[in-house]
Order: sequence, then structure tokens, then C-alpha cells
Amino acid sequence: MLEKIGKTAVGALRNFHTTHAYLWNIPKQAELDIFFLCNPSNLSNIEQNIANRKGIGDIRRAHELKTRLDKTDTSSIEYSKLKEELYQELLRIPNETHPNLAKMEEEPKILKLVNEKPYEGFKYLEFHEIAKRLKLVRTEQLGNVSGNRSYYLLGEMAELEHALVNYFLENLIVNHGFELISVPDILPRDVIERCGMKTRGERNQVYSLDPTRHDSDLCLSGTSEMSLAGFLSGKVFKEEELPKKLAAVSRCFRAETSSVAEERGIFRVHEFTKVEMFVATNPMMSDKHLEEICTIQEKGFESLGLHFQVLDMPPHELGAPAYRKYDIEAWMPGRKMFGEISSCSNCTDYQSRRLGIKYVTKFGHERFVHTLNGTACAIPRLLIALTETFQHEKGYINIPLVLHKYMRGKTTISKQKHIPELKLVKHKK
Amino acid sequence: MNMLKHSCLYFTHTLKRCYSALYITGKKAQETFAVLTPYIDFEERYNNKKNELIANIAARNYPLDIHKVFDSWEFFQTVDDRRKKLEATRTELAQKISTLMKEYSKNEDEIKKLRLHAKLIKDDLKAMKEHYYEVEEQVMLKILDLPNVLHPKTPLKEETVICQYLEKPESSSESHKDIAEKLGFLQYIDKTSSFLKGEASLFEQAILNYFRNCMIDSGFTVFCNPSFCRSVVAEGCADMENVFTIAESEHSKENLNHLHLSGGATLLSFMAYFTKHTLLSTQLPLKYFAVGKRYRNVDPEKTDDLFNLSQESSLNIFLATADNELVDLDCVLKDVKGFYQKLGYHFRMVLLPANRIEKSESLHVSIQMYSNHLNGYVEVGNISSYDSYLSKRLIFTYNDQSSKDRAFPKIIAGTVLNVPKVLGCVLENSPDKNLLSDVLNKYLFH
Repeated sequence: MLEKIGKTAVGALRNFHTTHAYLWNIPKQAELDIFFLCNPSNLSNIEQNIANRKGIGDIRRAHELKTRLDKTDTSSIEYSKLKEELYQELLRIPNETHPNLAKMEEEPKILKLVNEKPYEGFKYLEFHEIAKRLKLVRTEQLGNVSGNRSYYLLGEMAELEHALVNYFLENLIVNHGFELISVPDILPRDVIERCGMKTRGERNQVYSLDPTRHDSDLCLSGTSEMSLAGFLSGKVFKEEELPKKLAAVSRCFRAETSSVAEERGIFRVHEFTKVEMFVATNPMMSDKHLEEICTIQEKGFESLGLHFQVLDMPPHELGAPAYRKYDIEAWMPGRKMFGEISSCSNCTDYQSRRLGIKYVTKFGHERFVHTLNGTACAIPRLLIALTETFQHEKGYINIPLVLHKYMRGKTTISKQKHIPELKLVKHKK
Repeated sequence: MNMLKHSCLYFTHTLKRCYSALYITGKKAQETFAVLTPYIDFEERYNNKKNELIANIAARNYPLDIHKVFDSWEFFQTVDDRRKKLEATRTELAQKISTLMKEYSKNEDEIKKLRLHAKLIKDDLKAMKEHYYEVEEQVMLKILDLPNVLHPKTPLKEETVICQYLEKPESSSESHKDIAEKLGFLQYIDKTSSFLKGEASLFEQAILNYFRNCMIDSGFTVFCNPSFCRSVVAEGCADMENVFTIAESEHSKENLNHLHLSGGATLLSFMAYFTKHTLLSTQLPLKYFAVGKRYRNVDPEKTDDLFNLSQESSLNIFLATADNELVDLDCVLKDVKGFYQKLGYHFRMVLLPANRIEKSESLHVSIQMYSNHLNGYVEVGNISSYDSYLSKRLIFTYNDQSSKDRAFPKIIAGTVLNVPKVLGCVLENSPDKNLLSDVLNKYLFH
């Protein structure tokens, strides 16, 4: 019976489920772990987990629905209605949480500090001051022409973006066996929602295309994690084909806004370039792969000479899909604060159950893979950390040694001579 | 006056109501913020270059009755003259009254008479303005819909091949989409979503890096641009039709200046940078480029392949010059020709005829590779001249030191490299060859 609900319940997801699902090979509905979720002996644990994560699901209601469903005639209309309600409620239940996090307080746990903190006797300028003086970024007078919080990276700052992308990509592909995938940035709403991201309602972070002008129900990707998860949807691997290690460089779009003073300038922006890692693995190996991804991140930022801390994130910072998450925060000496520059998560089977990503064991059983994702390099904040850390008292910026060969041999960034001084035309006519 | 009012009414009712974020007048300017007012050079075109305009529209096969535009313009001039006269009279009366007021008791009768007169003029102006703005807007929108001037080098009938490298491949081929799928290079979903994988995704990185290095060597400066732009810029670039529009919350529905997704490697994102800004003539010419994405709403009827994708990795160039644009254009063409030659594939450069270029373009050089499957050439890049059409519409000016007047830079721009299109042609030209040639391999991550 339980299995039947899992396999035949028709969710709201079906509303989106026309051509997109077919083309993307997305299963009609998520195959949730009904045995686990609806087992009365798990009720209090699940409830505690939701509370710890400050999540939104209501497992008690799910269990009530389940009890009523069991008492209802399977051929009645009431039965299908209840089945759908139950499915909806179960979809809202967050992932389980790594046992190590159970006793964690509100604050993240600092796992390690890497590289020395930059010398403190120097009056560090903030990124936007340096960038303005050297004509490396423009953020002013753009709201009416390119949208709020827009920015242009100019000259050598743009070259630095390309250098970082190339440096991190080469490391992933040549040294760590990742496969490069070129991904779409416009995705069906269904793909994004199945990754565990809300796309509607107040304070959601997802841009939608105007439904009155564009036929399909499309959104802008917030991270290539979503495109890569979508890329794997409906695929069934052989056990020996795992892990699938994918990398992508893409433009990421976030509708979020912020007026917090710490997030001024290009710290929190609506779009940016990011190199992403995505791994689909045998469930037995997912903890190990999370450590591996985190190590790749640490080594990468360490090689740039940044001072940073690695954080084990508490349950309420995990969102719905992650089972465990590490963040890395780099020291930004101009701002005198640590700022998040990357994170990595183990989503266990939360995404694979919703997208139908499976493998066949050596004994012929079909199982869900575990999925993991991690930022290799997110441009604007990395530029802030690098610029503030490596500013020279004479005004220029030193480029970290490992990036020289990706910058055509350049070792410093100074004032951009080919960027003109612009003046706003004030009169209308 | 009444007759004029009626003509205005008739005139506005006969025109289709359309809203623009680029040209906002009168009443609407009170409701919504007008970013700028485009510089309209129609008077010059109407007075001195009428025949050029008629021939231009005919050569482009542009669907517009130019004589109707002339009629509208003449009518607007009549209305505008009348408005100017009324305003001049009103000012004159105000001055007279103010002078007479100094000795009020002596001039009381005269003042009363003039005040009555002033009131009549004021009422007339008020009545007129009700419709004046609509007439103005409609005429200006028609004028803004006119195409750019034609460059003397733009062929009037047939395309002209200006250069060719290697011979056209003769062999027939499967479609590049089939080839790419067989080789594991492509997971095609639909026009908005496709994945390049294996050697094809590395090819994308390598060719973008290769062209990026070439452009820097040629003295161009790199930009990383926003992917979003507002309607005013898209309209200013006469490129509203294919941009994606972002859904907005209910309360911003009244806003005319919507948010669009067009991509960072586009003319739109460069024009947004310079919109409503001025610089010194000594800073020209500007030579910029951007590497990134270009997003476009593609006609669903077109074939499903790499030639018709909504998202394309591209390299876009942008030049702004003060005067002799041909010299700059020739230099860029020579450079780009050299970059393509080193790739070792057949290509040609073609001047497109007037009826195949965009209305914003005055000249369009098409960089074309051959599709063995389609038995025809595919545009994999372009370099176009826009004269001062875009700068005038979006108020991008420079101060000419000699005349001290503001002047409008001439723009040369284009997508020099469109990766999926090049990839499609390369796969069909030589399906057995390694995508990562020796030339490209060096640029894989550099």
C-alpha cells in the first residue's frame, strides 16, 4: 500500500509536467521514501529534525493523512484527494541531518583556519575604493539601464575573472577527473523546484520569465547545480560508473535583495559567474566525497594565499535538501570581516529521489544515488577577497603567483588607461 | 483653434496606441520615470535627405509607408508652430502686464484687457496640450521606427563576398546534431536547454580563450557585462523582439522600463554602459570586447540544432569612434580574418545587401562557415556598422573640442564568434577530425 502511494500519487508537480518533463526525462513524480517517512516509530525523530532545521514540513499532519487514507476506500474520489494531499505534505519534509550536527548550537563550528591573517598594521582600503580608483568596476548609474545592483568588470579585473575560471577549471578537470559540461542558464521551473528551491511566493530567489510573453514555464538558474542535477535526471548508472564528477562554469541569477551595510558593492549581486562541482555517488561514499570536495576547495583558496575559515554549518543553515554543509569564509581585510566565498553540501538522496537519478548495484538492485555540490569559485566575492588582501600601499594590486600564467604573465593590476571618464548627461533634451 | 483640436483628436485616434520606454512625454512622464529623450535628427533627414530616405526604405524592403511619416511630421510641425506661437504670445503678455503693473492705477483698464487676453491664450494652450503630447509621441515613435542610413558600401541587391579562406568543402554530411549526439558531445533538450559535453565543452572553452587572447593582442580591452538590460536600452538598440522579459511583481506592472535578459556578450550590454553618458573626444576610439552569453528568444518553428539556440556562448566587440569609421572597420576585419584563418576551416566574409540587414545597421559584414548538411552558409559571426544611430537614440555623446558642441560617436559592433554555430559547422566540415586542434589545445585553460 505504502509503495503504491509513492508510485502512483499525483502531485502538484504534475501541473508542470507536460513537455518539459518528457524532454528532461524527469519522472512524473518524486519517489519519496514513504516507508521511512510514514513509519510511526520515526515520527518524533523526524519532527525533532524539522524543528532543529527550522524547516517548514508538518510530519504530524502527514501521518494523520496517512491514517485517514488507510481507512478510505481506494476506489473513492476522497482517496485520490487524500493521496495527493499526503504526497504534497511529504514533499515539504526536509532531508535528514548528519548525526554529528545533532548537538550543535546556533553558530557554525569553525573546523579550521587556513593561511596567516594579513598583516594588521596596514590601512586596508575596501574593494570598491580600490576598484573605483583603478577604474576596475562600474556600479553607478546603472539601475535604469541594466537593473538594480548591476556591475561591469573592466579591463584587468575582467581578465582576473577569466584567469580564476581557467585556473579552477583546469584543476578540476586535469587533477581531479571532473568532466566539463556546458550548461543552460534558463531552466524549466520543475527542474529547479525538484532541486529543493522554491520559485514562487515572497522572498524567493528565482527569476521567472514573463509568462505573458513566453510560452513555457521557465526560470533563470540560480546555480549550475540545478542544471547539472537536471542533466542527470532520469539516468540510471552502473555502480562501477560512479562517482560521476561534473564541473560547469555558468552565469548564476539570484533575485535576492539586500540593504545590509556589510553587503554593499558587489558583495551580494543579482548575477555572477561561478565554477561549480557536482558529484553523483554511491550512498556509501557520499560522506567521503563531501570531504574530498571540501579539500579541493581548501587547497584552491589556500594556493591563492587567502586567509579563510572552514565552517561546519548548523542544522538551521542547511535549507531543505542538504544533509551536511561546509562553508568557507575568506577574510576581507578592507571590510574587516569574513565573507562567504563558497560552500559544499551533501544532499544524499533528496534530489535524486525527485529527479530519478539512480544506479544499479552489483546485485542488480536499483538504488538512488547521493548528490553533492560545491562551489569551486564564485567570482565577485573572490575578487573582493583577493583585491583587499593583495592591495599594495602604492595603489596597485598584486596578482597571486599561481594566477600569473592565466593572466598572460601579468603580475599586478593597476589603473586602467583605456576606460574613459564618463559624465552623466543631466539635461533631458 | 477648435479645428486644430479636432484634427489632433482624429490623428491620435487613427494611430495605434503603443507604449515605449524610450520616448516618454507629457502625461505619462508624470506617472513613470523617463530615463532620457532620444536625439531626433529627422528634421535634417526630412529637409535635406528625403530622397536618400525614400531610396533607403525601398532598398531595405522596409515595411513602412514613408509618405505617411512625412505627413505626420508636417502635421506635428503645424501643431508645434501653433504651440510655440501661443507660448511666445503668453510670455509677451506676461512681460507687458508686469511692466504696466508698476503704475497700476494709471494702467488698470489696459491690465484688465491684457489679463483677459492672457487667460484666453492659457485656455487655448491647455486645450491643445491635452492632445499635443499624444501627437508628439506618436510622431516620434514613427520616426524612431525608421531605419538607419545605409552605408555606401552596403550592396543594394546581391550580397558581396569580400574574402574567402580555403575552398568550400564538397562532401555531404549528416546534421551536426546527429554527429554530436553520436560522439557524446551533446545532450539536446530543446532550444532553450542543451548541454555540451566531452570534447565539445572543452572546445567551447578553448575557442573562447583563443579569441579572447587574440582580441587582447589586437589592443582591445575586456569587459564583463551584466546579462540584464532595461527596455529603454533594448528599444534604443531597436532589439526588443527577441529579448527575454523577466516577470515582475504586481506593483511594478505600470512600469514601462522592464527588465530583460539579453546576455553580457551583446551590443545591448555595451550600449547600457554608455547610455546617457558623455566623454571627451580625446578618449576615442574605444575598443572593447566581452566574452560570455547571449540569450535570445528563438522562433520555435526553426530547426532543432546548434544553429538555433536561445543561449549561445559568444564573443562580442564594441567600438566607438569619432569620425572615420571605415578605417577602424577595415582594421577589425583584417584582424578577425587572421583569427579565423588560424583555425584552419573554410570561411568567408560577405557584405549583406540592404534587404537583409537590421534596421539599426548601416552595414553588415557576415562571417560565414559552411554547413555540409544544409548545403549553405551559416553566419557564425558578424561585424556591423551602426553609424551614430544608436548613440543618438540612447544619448551617448562626446564633446568635440573644436566646435564645443556635443557629437555622437559612431559605433561598430558585432558578435565576432558564436560558439555553437562554429561548432556545428566544424563538426559537419570534418566529422572525423579532432575538435581540439593543436591551435586550440594550447588555449584550453589559458
